[in-house]
Amino acid sequence: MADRPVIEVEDVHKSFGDVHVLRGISFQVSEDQTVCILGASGDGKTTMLKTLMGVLPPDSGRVRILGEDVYGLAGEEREDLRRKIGVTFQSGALLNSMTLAENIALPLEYHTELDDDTIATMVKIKLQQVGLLHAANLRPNEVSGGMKKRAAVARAIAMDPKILFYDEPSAGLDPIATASLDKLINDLKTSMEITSVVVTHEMESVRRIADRVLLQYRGQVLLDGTLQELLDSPSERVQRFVRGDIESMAVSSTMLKAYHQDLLM
Amino acid sequence: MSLTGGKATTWLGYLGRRVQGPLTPLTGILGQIGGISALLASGLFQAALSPFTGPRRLMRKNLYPLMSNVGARSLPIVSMVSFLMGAILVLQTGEPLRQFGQIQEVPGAVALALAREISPLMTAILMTARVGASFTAVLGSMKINEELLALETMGIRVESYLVAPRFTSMLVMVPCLTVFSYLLGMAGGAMVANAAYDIPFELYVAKTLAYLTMTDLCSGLVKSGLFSLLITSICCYFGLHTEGGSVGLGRNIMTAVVTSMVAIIVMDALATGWINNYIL
Repeated sequence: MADRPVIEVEDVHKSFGDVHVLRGISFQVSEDQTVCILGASGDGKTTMLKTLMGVLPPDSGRVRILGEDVYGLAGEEREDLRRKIGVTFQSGALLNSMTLAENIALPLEYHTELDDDTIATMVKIKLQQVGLLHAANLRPNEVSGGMKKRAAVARAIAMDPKILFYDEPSAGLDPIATASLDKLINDLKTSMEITSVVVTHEMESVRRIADRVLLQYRGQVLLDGTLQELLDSPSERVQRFVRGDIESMAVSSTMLKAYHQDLLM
Repeated sequence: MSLTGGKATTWLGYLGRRVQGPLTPLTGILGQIGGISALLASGLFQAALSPFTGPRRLMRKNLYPLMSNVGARSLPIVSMVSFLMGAILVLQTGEPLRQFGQIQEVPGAVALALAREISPLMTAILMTARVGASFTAVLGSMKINEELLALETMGIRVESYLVAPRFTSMLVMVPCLTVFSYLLGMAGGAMVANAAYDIPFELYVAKTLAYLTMTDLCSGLVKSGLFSLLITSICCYFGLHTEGGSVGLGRNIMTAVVTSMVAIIVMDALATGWINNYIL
């Protein structure tokens, strides 16, 4: 069943005021795939991810996860679907008033009737999976950025989700911490058969983890293919992104023209 | 042919913007009142459901520290202020009543003022400053740090996990603190009455009991319950709707405290009018 789509996005549009951020995005993600959404800052990657998470309804279009229309569900059905999805945020978004272990125990305590000893054992297993067993009783402000992200991953997998969303997992991390987090993403995919969507702009990470790559450009999908297809693409815009060209896609000629007009007014 | 009507649409749009402009602050305030009312309803509903359904263990874990913060840790400040308020009331009413030869009526006047008005009102104002502000600060910083978003993506409802225990703790603890406030206020009054006007403690207590009825005590407790609902719903609402980083958080804490205090006074006026007309 490797080709069964678990995520289907159809012609999604989203605007904030006059800014049209997503302009008709469509793609599918198959079971057990790791898909990286690439793009320059401001091209709508995080907006796309929030739309997938079910927290930012699109203006039009449809998002289906595990066959369910994410924004057509309400109440208990919606919460049931959310339990099958794990999310790690760019900042980690751990609850600062709790230890790392308490953060990981939170979804288990909320959603299950398991006794305290079972939950404690499950928390230890999750912490061991992300290599943080020694830091169980530390609070988020007492650990490094890399450890926070690992703890956020442990919390996201606490309910054994089928899908994991990562928002800029390697942002602000050193190369070793980034490589270590990428290995964790690959290990989880192998051991838990998790489908992952990773928003990133780190090409090194993409090389290590991506089965498929979506390059987003001004709210549209510019390229949907394998890493090799991205690297071999004849498109100048794609190659600029791959090379990290200083004439990046974000600063377009239209934007420069608007800037010059604004200065002259 | 344009289906949108061309120039007519532009003209209507202009008219709409002209009308909407001055009404924007009003619609904003109405939106906030609606949001606070919705949070009050859903928070109370979740608080009522929590002993029977959902994650009871987590609710207990959440509830006890909140009860301790709202109740036990507020006791010193409520006690001190109430003791002094009782003392001040005796000093303020004592002199005029002595001039009329009615010094023995001081305990009754002070008891009625404390039970019906001063204790519920002072306790509510102290709770707004001490606890309500912290509700806004905690929820607001959780919003800024994406912690609320993380809870939402985990399928954890903010109303049941964060708001409901705050309603429960305030509804239980604020009336309890109001009772403490009565007692400490009367103690302060009795001490000053004894020192300044030679009213014996036994006479003070006897006069207080003679004047005070259960209706007076209950009307104060009903008011304190209503005030606790207002403080919790307003302060949680402004915390959950924090935008604009630390500056926005500071602004929302100030707005929550000021709005709560105004709402408490308005509710006090309405409740006093109703109680005086229909109960007393």
